[in-house]
Amino acid sequence: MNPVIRVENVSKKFRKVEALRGVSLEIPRGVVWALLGRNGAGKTTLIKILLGLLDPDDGKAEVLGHDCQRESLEIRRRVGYVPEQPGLYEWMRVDEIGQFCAAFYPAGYFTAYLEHIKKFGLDPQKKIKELSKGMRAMVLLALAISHDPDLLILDEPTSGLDVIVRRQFLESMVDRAATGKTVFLASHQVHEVERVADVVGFLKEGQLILVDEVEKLKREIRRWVLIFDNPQSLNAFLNILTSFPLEIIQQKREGLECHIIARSSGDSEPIRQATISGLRSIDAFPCSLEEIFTAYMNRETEPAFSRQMEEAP
Amino acid sequence: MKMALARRSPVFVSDFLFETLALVWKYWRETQVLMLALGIIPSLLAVFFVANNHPIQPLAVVPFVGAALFALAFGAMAFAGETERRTDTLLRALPIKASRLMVALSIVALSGVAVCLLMGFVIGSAASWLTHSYSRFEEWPWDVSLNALFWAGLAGEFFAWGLFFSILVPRVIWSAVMGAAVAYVLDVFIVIAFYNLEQVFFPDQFIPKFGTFTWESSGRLLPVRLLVVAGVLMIDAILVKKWLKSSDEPLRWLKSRLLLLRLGGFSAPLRVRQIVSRFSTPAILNLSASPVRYLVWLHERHLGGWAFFLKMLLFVYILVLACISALSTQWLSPDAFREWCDKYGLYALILVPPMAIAVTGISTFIFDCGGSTRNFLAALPISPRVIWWSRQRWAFPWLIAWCVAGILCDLVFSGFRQSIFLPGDIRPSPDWLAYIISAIGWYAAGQLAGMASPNIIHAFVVTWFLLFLGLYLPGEFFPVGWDELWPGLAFAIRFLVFSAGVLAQTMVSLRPWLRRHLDNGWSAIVRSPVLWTLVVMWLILSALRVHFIQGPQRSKFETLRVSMTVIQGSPSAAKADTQTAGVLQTISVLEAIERFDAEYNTSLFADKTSVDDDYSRQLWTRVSHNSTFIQQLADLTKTPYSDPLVADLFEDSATQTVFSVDDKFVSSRFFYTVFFERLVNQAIEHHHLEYARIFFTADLCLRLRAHRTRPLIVAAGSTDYGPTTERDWRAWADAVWAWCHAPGQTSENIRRALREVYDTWKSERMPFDERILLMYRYWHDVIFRERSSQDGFCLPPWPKWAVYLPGEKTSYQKRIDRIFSDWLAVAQQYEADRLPPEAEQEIVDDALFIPGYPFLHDAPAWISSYVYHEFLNHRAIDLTVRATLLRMALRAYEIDNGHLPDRLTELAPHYLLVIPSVPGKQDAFIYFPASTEASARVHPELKGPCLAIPGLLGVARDGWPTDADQHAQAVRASTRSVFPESGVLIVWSLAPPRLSGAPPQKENP
Repeated sequence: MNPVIRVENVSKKFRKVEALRGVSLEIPRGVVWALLGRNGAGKTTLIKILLGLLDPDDGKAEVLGHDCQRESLEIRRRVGYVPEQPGLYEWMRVDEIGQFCAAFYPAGYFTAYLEHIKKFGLDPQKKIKELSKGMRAMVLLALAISHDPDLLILDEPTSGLDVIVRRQFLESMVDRAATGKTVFLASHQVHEVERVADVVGFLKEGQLILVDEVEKLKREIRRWVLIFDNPQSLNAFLNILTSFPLEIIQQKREGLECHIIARSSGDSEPIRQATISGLRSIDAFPCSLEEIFTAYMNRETEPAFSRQMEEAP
Repeated sequence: MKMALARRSPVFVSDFLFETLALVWKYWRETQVLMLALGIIPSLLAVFFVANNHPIQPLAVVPFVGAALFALAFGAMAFAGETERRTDTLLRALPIKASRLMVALSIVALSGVAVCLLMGFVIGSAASWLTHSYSRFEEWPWDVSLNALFWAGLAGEFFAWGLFFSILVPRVIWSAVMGAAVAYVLDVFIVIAFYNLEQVFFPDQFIPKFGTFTWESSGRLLPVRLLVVAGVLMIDAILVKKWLKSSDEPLRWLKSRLLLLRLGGFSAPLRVRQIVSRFSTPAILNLSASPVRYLVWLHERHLGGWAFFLKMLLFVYILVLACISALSTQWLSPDAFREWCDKYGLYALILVPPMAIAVTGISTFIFDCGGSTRNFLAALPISPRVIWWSRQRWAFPWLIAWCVAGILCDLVFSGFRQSIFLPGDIRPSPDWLAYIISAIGWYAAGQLAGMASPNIIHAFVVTWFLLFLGLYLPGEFFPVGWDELWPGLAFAIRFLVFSAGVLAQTMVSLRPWLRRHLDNGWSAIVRSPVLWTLVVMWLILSALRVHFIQGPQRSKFETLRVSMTVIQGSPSAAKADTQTAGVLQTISVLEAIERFDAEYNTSLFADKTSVDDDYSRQLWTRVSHNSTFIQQLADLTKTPYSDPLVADLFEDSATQTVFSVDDKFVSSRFFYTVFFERLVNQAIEHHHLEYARIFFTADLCLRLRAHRTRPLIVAAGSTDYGPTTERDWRAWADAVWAWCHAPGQTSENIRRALREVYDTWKSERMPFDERILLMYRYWHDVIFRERSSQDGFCLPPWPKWAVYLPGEKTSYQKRIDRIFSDWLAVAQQYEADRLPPEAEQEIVDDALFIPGYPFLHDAPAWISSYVYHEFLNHRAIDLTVRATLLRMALRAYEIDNGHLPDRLTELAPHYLLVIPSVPGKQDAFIYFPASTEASARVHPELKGPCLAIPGLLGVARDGWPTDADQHAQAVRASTRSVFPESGVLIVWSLAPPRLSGAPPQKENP
């Protein structure tokens, strides 16, 4: 089956800032795909490229088999998009804005829109300017999904929403994925993404550093806490740490304790199986997506850790 | 794919319709308020103009201006508005095609323009109908359809350019300003270029219409305009496609296309930006600098793009001025330049510096209002005064730069203004100090408004309001110009007090402003200094002015006041009632005359008045049988009467109803002039000498009343009631002379009539010095105040919405004061019959005597020439009446003695107590009792007995000067007459008149 989104080596530069650097990814149909990254990582830029609102400097992007540069109009017809900063025409009523947008989509849009509005508990006769931020987000979502798009792109959709609305909103994403539609979600609210996303991608400084299934990540990445009897043992352990069949994501030393976030393939626990001298105790904890995300984002702090290690007696 | 196929099916047409209609609906809804505002405001203005009987020209223009403004605003809002509201993302998320967007925008723009025009027309017409001025729209100075095309083309340009910049810049206000500026400049160049081209290639066919828009509004430029509009709209369409991708995309695309800017790596915009940015503040400040410098730097950096925009505006403005200056001297024909200046230059370019100064004032604080920078400032360990001072320091370069720009503008236009408005060397020099003083006023008001207002538009409106309330309104109520100690002193004091007060207010308000105590609390800001400033402005300042400035002028203006009291009497209600009764009685006489004259065919009269035609006989029959009317005429001279105009000057509301009589006087004057002439002759024919006496006395009375009712000759200009009517007065004198020679006439009768004529003349005549004072007051009101009730009939007032330099009005006023002051002296000498011989030459300034050119209406020179006309008119009347008195006395003497006296002195004291002299002089009338050689030497026509005077300028006899006159002139010039400039000799024959040969009919009325 053709992927819904295919991005090949896309780069984008704004003056001196490299927003995207050789990003490649493929998103299959029927998943909730979350793009995580810090502020300014390039998430919105990637979304704009996908919608054809920006042209990449390099590389190629396709959405639903359409070229993003040349066929952006067709893409926008088949994609639902909830932007980061929801701007709605304040003077319109809830139903009027649906009517207005319905002109650009196939028949049935407005009926579906009214159903969604009803489901969200909004009054169609209310003016947009009378709506709260959460209600506006709902209107935007209703506008984005009323033409039953094959792909729904959400850019920071839950920022500013209260807990109840946020939960309702995210659940609706899962429901959509269950019907075979694809949801592409960009956010930095990791704990929420964790609940709904099937696949996540970590975007750091314009580079996609990780793409994997959430469950698999959570299964394979663990936080290890090792307590040693003496510093010499700890140093010795750190020296041989790279020899383990592990992807060390983060390591931190606190006195005689060593905290490691590492990824191992499958359910194997190579540290626990190895014989380490001077080891008083060893514990492994499952990591939340937030911890994983933080670890990946802080991966550059390694030199600082090495320095700390060197300074140790 | 399936959906895509469906899209390409024939359903496409309905899709297109559907999508376009949805967009049209959106834009329509969004611009409804704008449309209503721009449609209604001009319409209300139209109502105002119509209701006030204002000249029609503004009424004709206002709907078009509204439409053009709508086009500009709509274009500017189209995309920049989306960006400002942040609805652009939603629009971009929708699958909208640029072409449909453009079609929808164009449809709404056209509809909006049409709506604005329609509203203007409909409401204007309704206003005309309500005020019973049906002919309002028929009086349009230009051809309506061409005019409409001209404005429609201009609206199209505004729309296209507004749209263009709306795509490129993120703010509505920027796109509107830039769009208007580019459309304006481009239009100027189109006009100039085609004007010149046409002159070069079609010199024979080209007839420039000086001082009007006729050439341009003749529709010749419309194809060019439409071409430009189409071109810009095409570029807009491409840019819209880019905009739908991203806001940055259009500019990037445009830059990539503008090869000129990339030649040889020369990046002009960037270079300009760098140059302009270095004007005031460094990019990085040395942090060891003083707090004030640091704060100035901070503010400049905080303003960012806005500061850059202001700088660019200054840069472009000076560039435009330079271009105009070059055009005016090198390439542009004088006519084209004048026309262009008349249309664009003066009214737009002079506006820019004060506006920019106000914006500078607004910019000092407004950009801290919304964001968090105010918190930052409040948290700084610095006194608010330092912050306040830093903002003033920031603004200083701007103030200076814009003042210089404004002065430059004045210099560029001074040549033009001199040639248009004021002939010779009487144009006031540019009042630069006044310019700077007014700039401070604008700046101060802007600053206070910026501090108190949530956004820049709001602040701008508040600035206008403050200025209007605090500066211009007091100026209007307590007009400057009486202060001759130094021109513009009151102006300067008013502005400085206002500026100081308002700046003090901003300083006082800064602390609460920083603490956000002033947010949403106008009451907090309308405290102390502003209030005190206004009190000072409105009460104390005017009182001081009266005391200190008006004091030295007391004698002159005391005279004015006293004279006005003499003219008007006490302006009490009782007095007003009496006047009203007198005026109403006079009106009833005039109405009766109109009724009698109702059948009169106006095409018959004019120059061919025949006193013994059928009509005259019918008239006589009807009038002589109406004893009530005869009694009314006999009582007319005994009627207490005061001029409604004079009353109106004092008591506007009390005498408004009476005021319409003024028009009646002037309009009905045509009728009763000939009316009485016919009646007198008929009465003589029918031997009803008593009736004839009543007729010519009433005629004299009405003539004098009509004359004094309207102190402006300009009214006369449009009704032929001016110096030219001397001929009519001659007709009156001839009628009296005929009466004196009527069969059966007695010396007693003539002497009684003489006394009556003299009394009527004395009581109804307004002394010329009083008349000058009245005119002064009237002109002052007409020019410097909105006295709309007279505007339709009199001169165009000082243009209220025209832009004039600060201080210019004062100079104008001063000039007018001087003219009236000079004339007052002349008038007093005239009334005392002590006018020196050389005075006549002094008061006749040929340079000023250029009637008929409409552009002179705004010049003091115009006033001077009209006062001069008034003088001629006044003298003609006096001369005629004095000569008539002499002739009556001579006739009485002749009846008693059988011959004319040898000398005029023989008439005193039995026939006349004093022998009248030539008005304004001690010279006696020249009297020839019989044909003599001496008389023939003076003038070949002086054959029989006659009364004459050496010719007076402007007092002409029918058909003169003839060859004989030329000869007489040559003779007099050779004998060094006291009036060498005069080419005319006034002669009253003393020979019996030729009466009609109709046999006397005995009739008993």
